[in-house]
Amino acid sequence: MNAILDIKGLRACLRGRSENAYVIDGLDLTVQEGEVVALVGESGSGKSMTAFSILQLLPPAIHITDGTILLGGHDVMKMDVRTLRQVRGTQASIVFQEPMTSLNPLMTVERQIAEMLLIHGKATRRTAPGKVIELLELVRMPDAKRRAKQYPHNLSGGLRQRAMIALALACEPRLLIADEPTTALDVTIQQQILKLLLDLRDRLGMAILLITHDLGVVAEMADRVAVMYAGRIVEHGPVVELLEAPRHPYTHGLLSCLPAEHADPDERLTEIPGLPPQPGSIRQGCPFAPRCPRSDAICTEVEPAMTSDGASHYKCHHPWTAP
Amino acid sequence: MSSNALRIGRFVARRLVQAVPILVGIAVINFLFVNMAPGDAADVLAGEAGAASPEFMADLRERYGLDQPMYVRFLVYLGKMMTFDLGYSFRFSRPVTELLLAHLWPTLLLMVTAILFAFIMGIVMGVIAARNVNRWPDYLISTGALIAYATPVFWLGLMMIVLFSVNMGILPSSGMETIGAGYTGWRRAADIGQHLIMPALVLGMYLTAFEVRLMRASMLEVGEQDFVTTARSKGLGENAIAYRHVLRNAMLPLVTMLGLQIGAMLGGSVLVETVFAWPGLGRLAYTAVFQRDINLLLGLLFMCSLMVIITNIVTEVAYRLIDPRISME
Repeated sequence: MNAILDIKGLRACLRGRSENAYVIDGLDLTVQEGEVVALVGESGSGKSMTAFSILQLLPPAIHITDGTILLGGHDVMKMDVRTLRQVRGTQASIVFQEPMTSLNPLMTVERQIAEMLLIHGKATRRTAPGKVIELLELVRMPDAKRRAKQYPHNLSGGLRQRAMIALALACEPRLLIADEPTTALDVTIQQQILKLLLDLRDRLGMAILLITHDLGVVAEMADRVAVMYAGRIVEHGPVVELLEAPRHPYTHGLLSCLPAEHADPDERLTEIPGLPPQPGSIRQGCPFAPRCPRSDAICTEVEPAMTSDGASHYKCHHPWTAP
Repeated sequence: MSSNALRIGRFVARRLVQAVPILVGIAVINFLFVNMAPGDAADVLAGEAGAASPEFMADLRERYGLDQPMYVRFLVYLGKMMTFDLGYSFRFSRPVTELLLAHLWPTLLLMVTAILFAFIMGIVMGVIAARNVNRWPDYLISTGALIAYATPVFWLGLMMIVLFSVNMGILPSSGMETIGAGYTGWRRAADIGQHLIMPALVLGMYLTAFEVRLMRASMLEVGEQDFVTTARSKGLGENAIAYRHVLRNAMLPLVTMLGLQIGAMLGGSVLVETVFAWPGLGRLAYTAVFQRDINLLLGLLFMCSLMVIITNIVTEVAYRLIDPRISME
């Protein structure tokens, strides 16, 4: 298999703070062609920043200091502006978290999608409207012909997210980055959108990097999972192994937060004590050590290296044992 | 497209109908306030004549209907207004309507030029400043706007006359056209244009500074919104993002403020027209106040409220044409 995305040793720094305020700190991540990889973690763990860095869309305050991001075999950080613009949308595209604000309120859906087709030469002014309808039908937008002429405010959240997905798919990217695509939607719409994404993956054969904090979504969607904490991947592996036999105490903690299937409704849910570290506050050792029930002296001194055990990969001195 | 024009037409018609009670209300307030000021036209006329007998004064008052009780005068005034008869100016010895129309065009020309200047400069300078934020073009424009914002209008007008008319002799210092030159056609338009430059600039300066600052802030704010990141992720260049996606969204507050500022500009035009001897409504109003020309003053106030109402309708239509989220209904 070929890797469509291969990130190695990525470090991104928050400008204006101390030298070590890294929001992404030595991140390695690979996505193979046609694969669905879920990137999970708490808010502030650097998931979205990782997504933005792939297409060089990071806010001006954050800049990448080290590492390589190979997208389709080419390093996006070495690309000039022209090449980068060419890559955006055709190699990879992004579906954002907030369908309410991620479309231009003053442009019709049709114009926003057609614009994408036109700049990449995938349609002419004459053929664009037809292609837009096709795309909207692909994402099962009801009444696509009428919806195309409408503005974002005429559409509900779910429909806007469909329009956003149609936009992202317009130039047939090999990687779709979905940054919490269902967080802002209600549960039934969430299901429809997730099903749509999987269905599109099967039909179009693209890879999906799904960013989420919802482990239910992960179980349903992903082939592989990478767990992110404090700007780095602490554990990754195939979805079944990772969810059934987590090795890293953080993954273990995340999974114990979920309510059990037949739990007593009055029972208190377990939680991971403490808060994730602020960027720059971890100087040495394992970033999870202060919150970890299994940590000891070595954890606060030495940052564990990535260890492989069968299909599981984890960064921990005292992992849970495989069953 | 034609259905759109029809919707705009219906919207304007509805707003005009809604304006009728507002105009009547304004007429009532205007009439009360103007009549509460001590002294009437008869006093002024008599004062200017030097000596007047009580019989002459009574005769004057009777001739102009000033001896009637206030409610009678008001009803007569309202009744005449319905037929767009705004009465007779005894100072100018001409019907008020005729006077107003004669002075309306110079003021409209002055204001529209000033507003267009402010709007275009506001957008151009605001965009340049925002796209070069915290670099020298931004500092230059922002500082310039701040200075223009803080400069008193009358001082600026006088200084410009000193510089461009007295010292350099390139621009006429007063009036709307060269008196007695008898120009026609394009030559006349060019002559008026030359006279227009300074007053329009002075009148528009404050609004320009205001719009530049607003546009800069608005561009920066819109530039941080999610849909701009979406546009960037599509592979659009920075120019296309700025002009196709950010600019239109950033213009919305500008249009709103423009509508609100035009009313204030009418006040400013009194000053500017006085400094530059521009034969417009502002100077006419100044004369009417000091000469107790009540009919003329009432007509002027009425005309101004009409202009403000029309401006507001135009702003509302413009706003709805730019932003599809606000409906015409």
